[in-house]
Amino acid sequence: MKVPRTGEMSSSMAVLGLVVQRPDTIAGVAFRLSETFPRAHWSPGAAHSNMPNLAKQGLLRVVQKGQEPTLDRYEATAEGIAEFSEWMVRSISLPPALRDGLQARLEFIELGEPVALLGMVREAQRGCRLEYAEAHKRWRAFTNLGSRSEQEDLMPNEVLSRGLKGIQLMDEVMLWGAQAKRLTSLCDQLEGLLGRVNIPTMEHRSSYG
Amino acid sequence: MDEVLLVSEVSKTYWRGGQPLDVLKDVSLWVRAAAIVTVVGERHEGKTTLLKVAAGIEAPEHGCVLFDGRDIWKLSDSQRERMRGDEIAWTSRARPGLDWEMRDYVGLRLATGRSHGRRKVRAQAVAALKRVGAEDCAERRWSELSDWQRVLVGLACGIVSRPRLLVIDDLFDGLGVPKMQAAGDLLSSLVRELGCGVLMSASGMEVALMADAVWLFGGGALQLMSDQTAGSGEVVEFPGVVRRSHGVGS
Repeated sequence: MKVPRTGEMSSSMAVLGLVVQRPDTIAGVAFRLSETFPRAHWSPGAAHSNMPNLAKQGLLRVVQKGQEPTLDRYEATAEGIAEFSEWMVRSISLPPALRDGLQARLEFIELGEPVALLGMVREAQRGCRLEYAEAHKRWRAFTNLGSRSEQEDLMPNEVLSRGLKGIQLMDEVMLWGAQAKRLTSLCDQLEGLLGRVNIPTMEHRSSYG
Repeated sequence: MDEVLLVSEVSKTYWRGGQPLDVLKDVSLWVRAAAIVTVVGERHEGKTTLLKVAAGIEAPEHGCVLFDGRDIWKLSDSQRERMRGDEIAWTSRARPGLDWEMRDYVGLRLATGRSHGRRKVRAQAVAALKRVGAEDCAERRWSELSDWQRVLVGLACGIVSRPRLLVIDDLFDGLGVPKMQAAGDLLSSLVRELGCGVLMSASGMEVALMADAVWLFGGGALQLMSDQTAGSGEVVEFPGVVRRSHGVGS
Protein backbone atom coordinates (compact mmCIF):
# COMPACT_ATOMS: atom_id res chain seq x y z
CA MET A 1 0.00 0.00 0.00
CA LYS A 2 1.28 3.47 -0.85
CA VAL A 3 1.87 5.33 2.40
CA PRO A 4 1.90 9.14 2.31
CA ARG A 5 5.00 10.72 3.85
CA THR A 6 2.98 13.59 5.27
CA GLY A 7 2.48 12.00 8.68
CA GLU A 8 -1.24 12.05 7.98
CA MET A 9 -3.41 8.96 7.92
CA SER A 10 -4.86 7.90 4.55
CA SER A 11 -8.45 6.72 4.34
CA SER A 12 -7.24 3.27 3.22
CA MET A 13 -5.05 2.93 6.32
CA ALA A 14 -7.93 4.05 8.53
CA VAL A 15 -10.18 1.44 6.89
CA LEU A 16 -7.53 -1.24 7.29
CA GLY A 17 -7.12 -0.30 10.97
CA LEU A 18 -10.86 -0.53 11.61
CA VAL A 19 -11.02 -4.02 10.06
CA VAL A 20 -7.93 -5.09 12.02
CA GLN A 21 -9.80 -3.87 15.10
CA ARG A 22 -12.67 -6.19 14.23
CA PRO A 23 -14.12 -7.88 11.10
CA ASP A 24 -16.92 -5.85 9.58
CA THR A 25 -19.00 -5.15 6.49
CA ILE A 26 -18.40 -2.24 4.11
CA ALA A 27 -21.54 -0.57 5.47
CA GLY A 28 -20.32 -1.11 9.04
CA VAL A 29 -16.85 0.25 8.35
CA ALA A 30 -18.33 3.28 6.52
CA PHE A 31 -20.32 4.10 9.66
CA ARG A 32 -17.39 3.52 12.02
CA LEU A 33 -15.10 5.60 9.81
CA SER A 34 -17.31 8.67 10.16
CA GLU A 35 -17.88 8.02 13.87
CA THR A 36 -14.24 7.45 14.75
CA PHE A 37 -12.70 10.19 12.63
CA PRO A 38 -15.44 12.81 12.30
CA ARG A 39 -13.04 15.61 11.31
CA ALA A 40 -11.00 13.70 8.72
CA HIS A 41 -13.41 14.74 5.92
CA TRP A 42 -12.85 11.64 3.83
CA SER A 43 -15.22 10.85 1.00
CA PRO A 44 -18.46 9.16 2.14
CA GLY A 45 -17.56 6.32 -0.22
CA ALA A 46 -14.07 5.79 1.27
CA ALA A 47 -14.95 2.41 2.78
CA HIS A 48 -16.78 1.29 -0.39
CA SER A 49 -13.79 2.00 -2.61
CA ASN A 50 -11.00 1.01 -0.23
CA MET A 51 -12.20 -2.35 1.07
CA PRO A 52 -12.37 -4.16 -2.32
CA ASN A 53 -9.00 -2.56 -3.21
CA LEU A 54 -7.44 -3.73 0.05
CA ALA A 55 -8.82 -7.19 -0.67
CA LYS A 56 -7.21 -7.13 -4.14
CA GLN A 57 -3.89 -6.28 -2.46
CA GLY A 58 -4.30 -9.30 -0.18
CA LEU A 59 -4.63 -7.16 2.97
CA LEU A 60 -8.31 -8.03 3.56
CA ARG A 61 -10.45 -11.00 2.58
CA VAL A 62 -14.16 -11.65 2.38
CA VAL A 63 -15.19 -14.16 5.04
CA GLN A 64 -18.92 -14.05 4.50
CA LYS A 65 -20.87 -13.00 1.39
CA GLY A 66 -23.79 -10.67 2.02
CA GLN A 67 -27.01 -10.09 0.11
CA GLU A 68 -25.29 -7.19 -1.57
CA PRO A 69 -21.61 -6.15 -1.81
CA THR A 70 -21.83 -3.59 1.01
CA LEU A 71 -22.93 -6.42 3.33
CA ASP A 72 -19.94 -8.64 2.52
CA ARG A 73 -18.04 -9.24 5.76
CA TYR A 74 -14.28 -8.68 5.60
CA GLU A 75 -11.44 -9.55 7.93
CA ALA A 76 -7.78 -8.57 7.86
CA THR A 77 -5.28 -11.11 6.49
CA ALA A 78 -1.93 -11.75 8.18
CA GLU A 79 -0.40 -9.45 5.55
CA GLY A 80 -2.97 -6.77 6.39
CA ILE A 81 -2.24 -7.00 10.09
CA ALA A 82 1.52 -6.82 9.37
CA GLU A 83 1.02 -3.80 7.07
CA PHE A 84 -1.00 -2.01 9.73
CA SER A 85 1.46 -2.88 12.50
CA GLU A 86 4.29 -1.51 10.41
CA TRP A 87 2.37 1.71 9.78
CA MET A 88 1.75 2.12 13.49
CA VAL A 89 5.49 2.27 14.07
CA ARG A 90 6.55 3.97 10.86
CA SER A 91 4.09 6.82 10.95
CA ILE A 92 5.26 8.14 14.29
CA SER A 93 8.91 7.97 13.29
CA LEU A 94 8.41 10.54 10.51
CA PRO A 95 7.98 14.26 11.16
CA PRO A 96 4.89 15.52 9.36
CA ALA A 97 5.49 17.21 6.02
CA LEU A 98 4.95 20.96 6.20
CA ARG A 99 2.51 21.78 3.41
CA ASP A 100 0.59 24.39 5.31
CA GLY A 101 -1.45 26.60 2.98
CA LEU A 102 -1.05 29.72 5.10
CA GLN A 103 2.72 29.28 5.28
CA ALA A 104 2.81 29.12 1.48
CA ARG A 105 0.57 32.17 1.10
CA LEU A 106 2.78 34.15 3.47
CA GLU A 107 5.71 33.28 1.22
CA PHE A 108 3.84 34.55 -1.87
CA ILE A 109 1.94 37.37 -0.19
CA GLU A 110 3.60 40.13 -2.21
CA LEU A 111 2.05 38.60 -5.33
CA GLY A 112 -1.39 38.78 -3.73
CA GLU A 113 -3.49 40.95 -1.50
CA PRO A 114 -2.43 41.22 2.18
CA VAL A 115 -5.86 42.34 3.38
CA ALA A 116 -7.48 39.36 1.68
CA LEU A 117 -4.96 37.09 3.38
CA LEU A 118 -5.83 38.63 6.72
CA GLY A 119 -9.51 37.92 6.03
CA MET A 120 -8.60 34.35 5.18
CA VAL A 121 -6.67 33.94 8.42
CA ARG A 122 -9.60 35.35 10.38
CA GLU A 123 -11.95 32.91 8.69
CA ALA A 124 -9.63 29.99 9.37
CA GLN A 125 -9.34 31.08 13.00
CA ARG A 126 -13.13 31.18 13.30
CA GLY A 127 -13.31 27.66 11.88
CA CYS A 128 -10.71 26.43 14.35
CA ARG A 129 -12.63 27.94 17.24
CA LEU A 130 -15.77 26.09 16.16
CA GLU A 131 -13.82 22.84 15.93
CA TYR A 132 -12.27 23.57 19.32
CA ALA A 133 -15.74 24.06 20.84
CA GLU A 134 -16.88 20.70 19.47
CA ALA A 135 -13.73 18.89 20.62
CA HIS A 136 -13.96 20.56 24.05
CA LYS A 137 -17.60 19.47 24.30
CA ARG A 138 -16.63 15.85 23.53
CA TRP A 139 -13.81 16.03 26.08
CA ARG A 140 -16.07 17.48 28.77
CA ALA A 141 -18.73 14.84 28.08
CA PHE A 142 -16.06 12.14 28.37
CA THR A 143 -14.68 13.48 31.65
CA ASN A 144 -18.20 13.78 33.06
CA LEU A 145 -18.93 10.12 32.26
CA GLY A 146 -17.28 8.74 35.34
CA SER A 147 -15.27 9.96 38.27
CA ARG A 148 -11.79 8.64 38.97
CA SER A 149 -13.09 6.62 41.92
CA GLU A 150 -15.63 4.86 39.69
CA GLN A 151 -12.81 4.02 37.29
CA GLU A 152 -10.99 2.24 40.08
CA ASP A 153 -13.55 -0.57 39.77
CA LEU A 154 -12.72 -1.15 36.10
CA MET A 155 -10.69 -4.05 34.75
CA PRO A 156 -7.15 -3.16 33.57
CA ASN A 157 -8.09 -3.50 29.88
CA GLU A 158 -11.06 -1.17 30.44
CA VAL A 159 -8.82 1.32 32.23
CA LEU A 160 -6.39 1.17 29.30
CA SER A 161 -9.15 1.56 26.73
CA ARG A 162 -10.77 4.48 28.55
CA GLY A 163 -7.42 6.09 29.25
CA LEU A 164 -6.40 5.94 25.59
CA LYS A 165 -9.73 7.43 24.53
CA GLY A 166 -9.22 10.25 27.03
CA ILE A 167 -5.73 10.95 25.71
CA GLN A 168 -7.01 11.01 22.12
CA LEU A 169 -9.86 13.41 22.99
CA MET A 170 -7.54 15.65 24.99
CA ASP A 171 -5.03 15.70 22.15
CA GLU A 172 -7.77 16.75 19.74
CA VAL A 173 -8.75 19.67 21.97
CA MET A 174 -5.11 20.69 22.26
CA LEU A 175 -4.58 20.49 18.48
CA TRP A 176 -7.50 22.79 17.71
CA GLY A 177 -6.56 25.09 20.58
CA ALA A 178 -2.97 25.36 19.42
CA GLN A 179 -4.10 26.06 15.87
CA ALA A 180 -6.57 28.73 17.01
CA LYS A 181 -3.89 30.33 19.17
CA ARG A 182 -1.46 30.29 16.28
CA LEU A 183 -3.98 31.90 13.92
CA THR A 184 -4.87 34.54 16.51
CA SER A 185 -1.21 35.43 16.80
CA LEU A 186 -0.93 35.53 13.00
CA CYS A 187 -3.95 37.87 12.82
CA ASP A 188 -2.43 40.19 15.42
CA GLN A 189 0.89 40.32 13.61
CA LEU A 190 -0.70 40.93 10.20
CA GLU A 191 -3.01 43.61 11.60
CA GLY A 192 -0.07 45.28 13.33
CA LEU A 193 2.05 45.22 10.19
CA LEU A 194 -0.72 46.51 7.93
CA GLY A 195 -1.51 49.21 10.49
CA ARG A 196 2.11 50.35 10.49
CA VAL A 197 2.05 50.83 6.72
CA ASN A 198 -1.40 52.47 6.87
CA ILE A 199 -3.34 49.77 5.06
CA PRO A 200 -6.88 49.71 6.53
CA THR A 201 -7.97 46.27 7.71
CA MET A 202 -11.62 47.20 8.35
CA GLU A 203 -12.36 44.86 11.19
CA HIS A 204 -12.23 45.32 14.92
CA ARG A 205 -12.63 41.81 16.19
CA SER A 206 -15.84 41.20 18.07
CA SER A 207 -15.83 39.26 21.30
CA TYR A 208 -18.07 36.53 20.05
CA GLY A 209 -18.05 36.33 16.27
CA MET B 1 -28.85 32.89 33.35
CA ASP B 2 -27.04 32.72 36.68
CA GLU B 3 -23.92 34.76 36.09
CA VAL B 4 -21.88 35.65 39.12
CA LEU B 5 -19.76 37.98 37.04
CA LEU B 6 -20.38 39.98 33.90
CA VAL B 7 -17.62 42.00 32.33
CA SER B 8 -19.08 44.22 29.65
CA GLU B 9 -17.18 46.15 26.98
CA VAL B 10 -14.27 46.99 29.21
CA SER B 11 -11.35 49.03 27.87
CA LYS B 12 -8.04 49.93 29.42
CA THR B 13 -5.02 51.77 28.05
CA TYR B 14 -1.55 52.04 29.51
CA TRP B 15 0.88 54.73 28.50
CA ARG B 16 4.42 53.60 27.83
CA GLY B 17 7.07 56.06 26.68
CA GLY B 18 4.34 58.55 25.78
CA GLN B 19 2.63 56.01 23.52
CA PRO B 20 -0.82 54.53 24.23
CA LEU B 21 -1.01 50.77 24.60
CA ASP B 22 -4.56 49.41 24.38
CA VAL B 23 -4.37 46.45 26.73
CA LEU B 24 -8.12 45.77 26.80
CA LYS B 25 -10.33 46.67 23.83
CA ASP B 26 -14.07 46.42 24.53
CA VAL B 27 -13.61 43.13 26.32
CA SER B 28 -16.67 41.21 27.52
CA LEU B 29 -17.12 37.87 29.25
CA TRP B 30 -19.28 36.14 31.81
CA VAL B 31 -18.79 33.65 34.63
CA ARG B 32 -21.66 31.51 35.81
CA ALA B 33 -22.02 30.08 39.30
CA ALA B 34 -20.19 26.78 39.81
CA ALA B 35 -18.41 27.14 36.46
CA ILE B 36 -14.72 27.41 35.64
CA VAL B 37 -13.87 29.98 32.97
CA THR B 38 -10.35 30.16 31.54
CA VAL B 39 -8.79 33.01 29.59
CA VAL B 40 -5.87 31.72 27.54
CA GLY B 41 -3.27 34.00 25.97
CA GLU B 42 0.40 34.79 25.67
CA ARG B 43 2.30 36.22 28.61
CA HIS B 44 2.40 40.00 29.10
CA GLU B 45 -0.56 40.59 26.79
CA GLY B 46 -2.94 41.87 29.47
CA LYS B 47 -4.63 38.79 30.95
CA THR B 48 -3.69 39.79 34.49
CA THR B 49 -5.01 43.31 33.87
CA LEU B 50 -8.31 41.82 32.72
CA LEU B 51 -8.52 39.66 35.84
CA LYS B 52 -7.64 42.59 38.08
CA VAL B 53 -10.39 44.68 36.50
CA ALA B 54 -12.84 41.79 36.97
CA ALA B 55 -11.79 41.31 40.60
CA GLY B 56 -12.17 44.98 41.49
CA ILE B 57 -8.45 45.58 41.89
CA GLU B 58 -7.75 47.79 38.89
CA ALA B 59 -10.26 50.24 37.43
CA PRO B 60 -11.20 50.15 33.73
CA GLU B 61 -11.45 53.31 31.65
CA HIS B 62 -14.67 52.22 29.95
CA GLY B 63 -17.24 49.51 30.43
CA CYS B 64 -18.57 47.91 33.56
CA VAL B 65 -18.09 44.91 35.79
CA LEU B 66 -21.16 43.43 37.43
CA PHE B 67 -20.78 41.12 40.39
CA ASP B 68 -24.14 39.66 41.38
CA GLY B 69 -25.74 42.49 39.43
CA ARG B 70 -23.80 45.21 41.26
CA ASP B 71 -21.41 47.39 39.27
CA ILE B 72 -18.30 47.01 41.37
CA TRP B 73 -16.69 50.10 39.89
CA LYS B 74 -19.60 52.26 41.05
CA LEU B 75 -19.17 51.17 44.67
CA SER B 76 -17.18 53.25 47.14
CA ASP B 77 -13.61 52.12 47.79
CA SER B 78 -14.58 50.71 51.18
CA GLN B 79 -17.61 48.84 49.76
CA ARG B 80 -15.44 47.38 47.01
CA GLU B 81 -12.75 46.48 49.52
CA ARG B 82 -15.32 44.67 51.64
CA MET B 83 -16.67 42.84 48.61
CA ARG B 84 -13.16 41.71 47.73
CA GLY B 85 -12.60 40.51 51.24
CA ASP B 86 -15.88 38.65 51.64
CA GLU B 87 -17.07 37.55 48.20
CA ILE B 88 -14.28 37.81 45.66
CA ALA B 89 -10.95 36.08 46.20
CA TRP B 90 -7.78 36.63 44.21
CA THR B 91 -4.96 34.15 44.10
CA SER B 92 -1.80 33.47 42.11
CA ARG B 93 1.53 31.70 42.52
CA ALA B 94 3.29 34.93 43.45
CA ARG B 95 5.51 34.57 46.51
CA PRO B 96 4.37 36.26 49.73
CA GLY B 97 5.91 39.64 50.47
CA LEU B 98 7.02 38.46 53.90
CA ASP B 99 8.53 35.20 55.09
CA TRP B 100 5.29 33.83 56.54
CA GLU B 101 4.41 30.37 57.69
CA MET B 102 1.77 29.18 55.25
CA ARG B 103 -0.98 28.98 57.92
CA ASP B 104 -0.48 32.73 58.47
CA TYR B 105 -0.11 33.53 54.78
CA VAL B 106 -3.31 31.65 53.86
CA GLY B 107 -5.15 33.30 56.76
CA LEU B 108 -3.98 36.76 55.78
CA ARG B 109 -7.09 37.71 53.85
CA LEU B 110 -9.26 36.68 56.80
CA ALA B 111 -7.25 38.75 59.21
CA THR B 112 -6.94 41.90 57.11
CA GLY B 113 -9.27 44.65 58.34
CA ARG B 114 -11.15 42.32 60.66
CA SER B 115 -11.14 41.52 64.32
CA HIS B 116 -10.79 37.73 64.00
CA GLY B 117 -8.49 36.31 66.63
CA ARG B 118 -5.22 34.86 65.45
CA ARG B 119 -6.13 31.39 66.69
CA LYS B 120 -9.41 31.38 64.78
CA VAL B 121 -7.76 32.67 61.60
CA ARG B 122 -5.07 30.02 61.82
CA ALA B 123 -7.66 27.29 62.37
CA GLN B 124 -9.55 28.36 59.24
CA ALA B 125 -6.32 28.60 57.27
CA VAL B 126 -5.26 25.12 58.35
CA ALA B 127 -8.72 23.81 57.43
CA ALA B 128 -8.35 25.33 53.96
CA LEU B 129 -4.88 23.82 53.60
CA LYS B 130 -6.26 20.45 54.70
CA ARG B 131 -9.11 20.71 52.21
CA VAL B 132 -6.68 21.03 49.32
CA GLY B 133 -4.41 18.29 50.68
CA ALA B 134 -1.63 20.60 51.87
CA GLU B 135 -1.94 20.38 55.64
CA ASP B 136 1.72 19.41 55.85
CA CYS B 137 2.58 22.86 54.48
CA ALA B 138 0.92 24.74 57.35
CA GLU B 139 4.09 25.40 59.33
CA ARG B 140 6.41 25.67 56.36
CA ARG B 141 7.59 28.77 54.54
CA TRP B 142 7.34 29.56 50.83
CA SER B 143 10.98 28.75 50.12
CA GLU B 144 10.46 25.25 51.54
CA LEU B 145 7.60 24.35 49.18
CA SER B 146 7.65 22.51 45.86
CA ASP B 147 5.92 24.03 42.82
CA TRP B 148 2.97 21.71 43.35
CA GLN B 149 2.68 22.65 47.01
CA ARG B 150 2.70 26.32 46.01
CA VAL B 151 -0.24 25.60 43.71
CA LEU B 152 -2.10 23.94 46.58
CA VAL B 153 -1.30 26.85 48.90
CA GLY B 154 -2.56 29.21 46.20
CA LEU B 155 -5.84 27.30 46.08
CA ALA B 156 -6.09 27.36 49.87
CA CYS B 157 -5.62 31.15 49.79
CA GLY B 158 -8.44 31.30 47.25
CA ILE B 159 -11.00 29.27 49.18
CA VAL B 160 -10.23 30.21 52.78
CA SER B 161 -12.91 32.91 52.83
CA ARG B 162 -15.40 30.72 50.89
CA PRO B 163 -15.80 33.31 48.10
CA ARG B 164 -18.57 33.44 45.51
CA LEU B 165 -16.04 34.35 42.82
CA LEU B 166 -12.51 32.98 42.75
CA VAL B 167 -10.07 34.77 40.44
CA ILE B 168 -6.92 32.76 39.71
CA ASP B 169 -3.99 34.31 37.90
CA ASP B 170 -1.59 31.91 36.15
CA LEU B 171 -1.61 29.40 39.01
CA PHE B 172 -1.58 26.22 36.92
CA ASP B 173 0.82 27.05 34.08
CA GLY B 174 3.76 24.75 33.54
CA LEU B 175 2.48 21.90 35.70
CA GLY B 176 2.43 19.25 33.00
CA VAL B 177 -0.64 17.27 32.07
CA PRO B 178 -0.80 14.73 34.98
CA LYS B 179 -0.49 17.40 37.70
CA MET B 180 -2.78 19.69 35.75
CA GLN B 181 -5.43 16.96 35.70
CA ALA B 182 -5.05 16.51 39.45
CA ALA B 183 -5.37 20.28 39.88
CA GLY B 184 -8.44 20.25 37.63
CA ASP B 185 -10.10 17.51 39.67
CA LEU B 186 -9.37 19.38 42.88
CA LEU B 187 -10.59 22.71 41.54
CA SER B 188 -13.78 21.10 40.17
CA SER B 189 -14.54 19.52 43.54
CA LEU B 190 -13.96 22.85 45.31
CA VAL B 191 -16.24 24.63 42.86
CA ARG B 192 -18.99 22.07 43.40
CA GLU B 193 -18.60 22.35 47.15
CA LEU B 194 -18.56 26.16 47.31
CA GLY B 195 -20.82 26.82 44.34
CA CYS B 196 -18.50 29.66 43.37
CA GLY B 197 -17.62 30.83 39.89
CA VAL B 198 -13.96 30.71 38.83
CA LEU B 199 -12.23 33.07 36.42
CA MET B 200 -8.65 32.11 35.70
CA SER B 201 -5.89 32.97 33.28
CA ALA B 202 -3.36 30.67 31.66
CA SER B 203 -0.71 30.75 28.97
CA GLY B 204 -0.99 27.10 28.01
CA MET B 205 -3.99 25.52 26.31
CA GLU B 206 -3.71 22.44 28.54
CA VAL B 207 -4.97 24.46 31.50
CA ALA B 208 -8.17 25.14 29.56
CA LEU B 209 -8.97 21.42 29.61
CA MET B 210 -10.30 21.77 33.15
CA ALA B 211 -12.56 24.69 32.19
CA ASP B 212 -16.26 24.77 31.40
CA ALA B 213 -15.76 27.82 29.19
CA VAL B 214 -12.64 28.96 27.33
CA TRP B 215 -11.77 32.39 25.97
CA LEU B 216 -8.78 33.19 23.80
CA PHE B 217 -7.10 36.52 24.53
CA GLY B 218 -4.87 38.30 22.04
CA GLY B 219 -4.25 41.83 20.85
CA GLY B 220 -6.36 43.20 23.70
CA ALA B 221 -9.47 41.32 22.52
CA LEU B 222 -11.29 38.24 23.72
CA GLN B 223 -12.81 35.53 21.57
CA LEU B 224 -15.05 32.79 22.88
CA MET B 225 -13.65 29.35 22.10
CA SER B 226 -16.10 27.15 23.93
CA ASP B 227 -18.87 27.55 26.49
CA GLN B 228 -20.11 24.27 27.93
CA THR B 229 -22.01 26.13 30.64
CA ALA B 230 -24.72 27.18 28.18
CA GLY B 231 -27.79 24.97 28.51
CA SER B 232 -28.65 22.78 25.55
CA GLY B 233 -30.44 24.76 22.92
CA GLU B 234 -29.62 28.03 24.60
CA VAL B 235 -28.59 30.65 22.10
CA VAL B 236 -25.83 32.83 23.44
CA GLU B 237 -26.18 36.28 21.99
CA PHE B 238 -23.42 38.47 23.14
CA PRO B 239 -23.07 41.15 24.32
CA GLY B 240 -26.76 41.81 23.68
CA VAL B 241 -27.76 39.27 26.31
CA VAL B 242 -25.72 41.17 28.86
CA ARG B 243 -27.54 44.34 28.02
CA ARG B 244 -30.99 42.77 28.11
CA SER B 245 -30.51 40.83 31.32
CA HIS B 246 -28.79 43.49 33.32
CA GLY B 247 -29.57 46.79 31.66
CA VAL B 248 -25.95 47.39 30.83
CA GLY B 249 -24.92 49.80 28.13
CA SER B 250 -27.13 51.73 25.77
